[in-house]
Amino acid sequence: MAADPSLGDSFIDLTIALEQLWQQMRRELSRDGVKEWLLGAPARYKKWWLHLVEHAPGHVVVETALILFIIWLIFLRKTVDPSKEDSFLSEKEIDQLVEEWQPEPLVPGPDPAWDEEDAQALVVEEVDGTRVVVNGKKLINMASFDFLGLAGRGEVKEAARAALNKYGCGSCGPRGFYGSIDVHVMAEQAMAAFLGAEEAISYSDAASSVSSTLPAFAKKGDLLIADEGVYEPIQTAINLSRAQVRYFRHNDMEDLERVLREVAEEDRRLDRNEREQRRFIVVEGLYKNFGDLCPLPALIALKRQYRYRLYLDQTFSFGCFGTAGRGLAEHFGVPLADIEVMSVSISHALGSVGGMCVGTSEVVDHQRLSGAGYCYSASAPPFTSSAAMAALALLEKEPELVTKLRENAVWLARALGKIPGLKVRSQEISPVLHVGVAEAVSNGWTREEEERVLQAIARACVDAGYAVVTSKYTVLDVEAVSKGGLLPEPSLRLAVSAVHTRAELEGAVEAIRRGAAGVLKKHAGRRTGG
Amino acid sequence: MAFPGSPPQTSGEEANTTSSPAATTAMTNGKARRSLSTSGRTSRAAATPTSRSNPFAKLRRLSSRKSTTTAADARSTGPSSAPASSSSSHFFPPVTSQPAQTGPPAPVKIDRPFSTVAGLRDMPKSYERGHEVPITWFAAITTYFGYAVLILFGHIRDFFGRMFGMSRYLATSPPPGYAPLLKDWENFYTRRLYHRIRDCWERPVCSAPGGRITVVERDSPDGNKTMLMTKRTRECLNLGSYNYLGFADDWQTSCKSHVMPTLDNFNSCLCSARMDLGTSREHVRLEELVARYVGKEAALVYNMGFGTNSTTIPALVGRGSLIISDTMNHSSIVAGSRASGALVRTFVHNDAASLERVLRDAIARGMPRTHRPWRKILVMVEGIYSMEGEICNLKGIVEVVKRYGVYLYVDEAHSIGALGETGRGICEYAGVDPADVDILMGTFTKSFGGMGGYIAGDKALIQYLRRASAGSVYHNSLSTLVCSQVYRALRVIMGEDGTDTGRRKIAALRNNSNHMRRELIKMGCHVYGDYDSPIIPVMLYNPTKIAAFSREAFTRGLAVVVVGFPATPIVLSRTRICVSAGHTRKEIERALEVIEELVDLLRLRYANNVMG
Ligand SMILES: Cc1ncc(COP(=O)(O)O)c(C=O)c1O
Repeated sequence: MAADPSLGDSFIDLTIALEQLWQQMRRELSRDGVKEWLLGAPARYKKWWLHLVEHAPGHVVVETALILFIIWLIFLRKTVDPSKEDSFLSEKEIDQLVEEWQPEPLVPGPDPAWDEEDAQALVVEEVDGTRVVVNGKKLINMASFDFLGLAGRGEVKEAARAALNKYGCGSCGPRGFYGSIDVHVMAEQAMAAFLGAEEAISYSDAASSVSSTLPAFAKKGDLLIADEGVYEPIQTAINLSRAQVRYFRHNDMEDLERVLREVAEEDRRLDRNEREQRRFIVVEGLYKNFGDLCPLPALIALKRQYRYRLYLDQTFSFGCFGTAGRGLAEHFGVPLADIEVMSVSISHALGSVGGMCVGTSEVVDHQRLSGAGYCYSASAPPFTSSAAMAALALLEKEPELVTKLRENAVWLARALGKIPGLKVRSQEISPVLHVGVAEAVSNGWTREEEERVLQAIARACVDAGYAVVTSKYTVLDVEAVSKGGLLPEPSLRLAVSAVHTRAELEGAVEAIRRGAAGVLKKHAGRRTGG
Repeated sequence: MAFPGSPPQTSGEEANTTSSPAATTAMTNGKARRSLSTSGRTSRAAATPTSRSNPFAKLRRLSSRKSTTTAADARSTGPSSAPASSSSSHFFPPVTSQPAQTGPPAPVKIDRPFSTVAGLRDMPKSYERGHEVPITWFAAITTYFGYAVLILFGHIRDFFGRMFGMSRYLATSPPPGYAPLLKDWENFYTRRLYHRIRDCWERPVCSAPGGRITVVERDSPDGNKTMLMTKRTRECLNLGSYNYLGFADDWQTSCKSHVMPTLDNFNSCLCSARMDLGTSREHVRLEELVARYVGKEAALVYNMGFGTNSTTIPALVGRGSLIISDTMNHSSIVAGSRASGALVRTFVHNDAASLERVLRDAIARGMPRTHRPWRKILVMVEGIYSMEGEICNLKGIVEVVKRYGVYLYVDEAHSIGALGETGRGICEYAGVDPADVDILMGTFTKSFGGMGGYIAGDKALIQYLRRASAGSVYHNSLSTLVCSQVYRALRVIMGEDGTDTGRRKIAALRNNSNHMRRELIKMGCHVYGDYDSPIIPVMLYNPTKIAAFSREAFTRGLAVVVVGFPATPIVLSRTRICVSAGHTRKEIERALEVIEELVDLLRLRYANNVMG
């Protein structure tokens, strides 16, 4: 499936050019008297020339010389092309350069710390509801994004089992080429119906869905206004789209307005037509790395005022907000029509595998030929769609799951907020909780120090029977900080679920309290001691 | 290149399933008899084998060249590659009937002028190598003409649609003050070209994607703008799926009992990233097995093959590095390279000499403008090119890569499981030590009937990628169920299930593909790709033939994939036949009969006649 964009593009460019030419010709020809004007041209020219020779012979001489000089400059002067100069290198010299060139190692060398870390990695051996067996130890799961506990429900597993029995495992092909199993189509329809959108399109991976959708619409020359706190798949999408991008401060609507106003001013100054550029505001519904909601109503007011389209990533908010789990639009009571492009996930709240994009037929249909992760990748195994449909049906039948999730989240956030030395950074209603070290305590610490402390707390929780993880960032993202990249503050990242019992949550809070107390005390001792 | 657990060498028995060049000629008669019933034209061509446009003479030259190449390759790999050399004698016309030649094989010269009429990149060169046959001038002209007519009529329809306000596409005009969501041409192609023949793609299947599938028929109330599933279904022979080793056919017996228990112990997924709580013991043991299988120290599995490439490449190279990529590389590699920020240069498809030229030039010049030396250079190739069916010239490429000390990344999406005596992919097939390839990437969606992909390499590389690639740190991990599916499939392929099912699957795949390819070449079609590759593209060229081929095949109970722009260059539309180990010889014969009928109907014998 090697796409050869250059050929296709040049083909399309050609058709565009031809069309433009045709348009221009039509415009020209429709003018009055064009024909007469054209016919009279030689005579006019001759007259003008004779007039010139007669009245200003000096001009003629000087200007002819000038023209000849320009011709000489352009065509006859031997220029030294710097790029050609290199080719004077002899084969031997090239050999020498090749000999001298030493590449950097492909990856940084083996690090003994990695071995140690890998040995401590959490390896799941069994899952049963909120209970997991990790490295031979029974834990309560406070890390998986199975927000509604649907992944482990009997109905969902039964659906997966039935699909496996009928279809086997893999779909063995991209959607375009006999990799479309009927359940894929049905799951898309079910999702569209659930959200009240015209259509939905499914991808086999939630992150790829996000990073394929945006580049299908935003191309070079378009404009994206993005929150600076967006997570990696959106960053990748922005990067792949090659569109112009401007960032506004995380969740700061005033700053967003400032950016929008700046663009509008530039439009006016440069006399730019806003209709020539596709413009999107790009936000996450629930920010994975911050645990806060985007202020959708304010955003929509701004987007309408400045005439932008909205791309909303609901990977984490879908299923967790609104009265029936339809996500942020329902939560804030805004019409879905105001969100032009929306990604949702079936790997999180629905406990299956994959992602979807929902919107109008135009939005969805376009991706069936242009969504890279859709066209050029095999579809997900059919059982994932069956499981997602079963989970969606459960969600429709039991909207109280969403309420329960909210209650759990709020309870947990409040309880964690009372732990001395720690600070809940996320919003209270967020099912993804970010808990950091309180500023008063961490004053003067380096980032690594804080990370180490949080990791030690997480490990203490695991020892106490609660699977808690810290938020992790790739080595590259961490390195990028020194080059001006942004990284959210270090935190313990907890994921709460609707099926966590109050006792489990209490236990988790207690484990974190104890862990934090022990680790912080030890750390303080080491700091003053060292 | 010792692969642990290589099964003993195969007995000579299987050799007779493939025919030798001599047998090929003998089969001509049988073939001609059969085709008499379907077409007079074929039999005429077959009855006069000495005529100017005799396809079989060429075929014989081609196949003899192939066999000597393999023999030469096998010999040059030295004593450690005994399995490879035995494989060549099994799946190719016996080497004994061909005097083994040394030195590079002579390029196949097919005396067809106008090889560059289309002005297509690469054409003359690939022609020399005998992999790709150039488009005939007639096909090129009619194809361009076809597109011109389509575009003209598209514009006429748009014009009248706008004029009379009657078009099913009018509702999509943007609200005032907004740019259209889709640029005119993006949308024009979809509306006026793709929608005409949309029914040829995304046909929903309602059975396992095995050798035979049940396809749901669709209706469209609005000229293919929307497609609705009906209750009608059609049984089809499946030549479209990447089910190379047939695990979709015998899933109930070969895999089910090993996959279902995972559903009891785990949910279908862990809803967490690998570095958080997304690693299960299924992942760990799968990674160990994959590493052992491909002959590397360690491996890392991802949830998606596409994502494997698109998240690994940025973790390996960045600004100041150079990616040298084959021109035909898959779009996931393109996405990864773009996201990485490294500079990308391309070399002529599958051409080691071109790679060397690009490398020398790049190293000598250094980075653009500053001329500083490159930090890293990564060469990216694929094992089998999925649209061309071509097998990578890995040996040649490895030689160059070693000489220049750059890094090599091989995408084995289609070759893993499908190539090599024991299915270990392109390294085994080409007789290359896996240690000479820095990064081996592959997917589980094809031969293994699963999902996702892997990266295999040195331990340090994998440890680093675990921490550096977004696919491992941020994205949800591979489903546990799929882990056990792939684990089981691998065990079967490696013969560790205590049967020879895996070995038989690999042999059946090879025999089926070579038989299919040979017969298609005999028919006189323009067939791309190499022997031993299970992907067999047959050129259609004209846009009208894309739909005609697909629809006619479908009504005859054959599910084939047709591909056009944007997945291929605009004039090189093709049908891509994927052979599986799950096909019986009878099914292959039946498929060939149907294809022959279509080839006559649509005049696709471009190798016999410029006009097809
Ligand atoms: C060469 C190559 N790499 C990667 C992929 C992507 O793999 P997947 O379909 O598993 O996402 C494909 C699949 O079509 C491919 O052909």
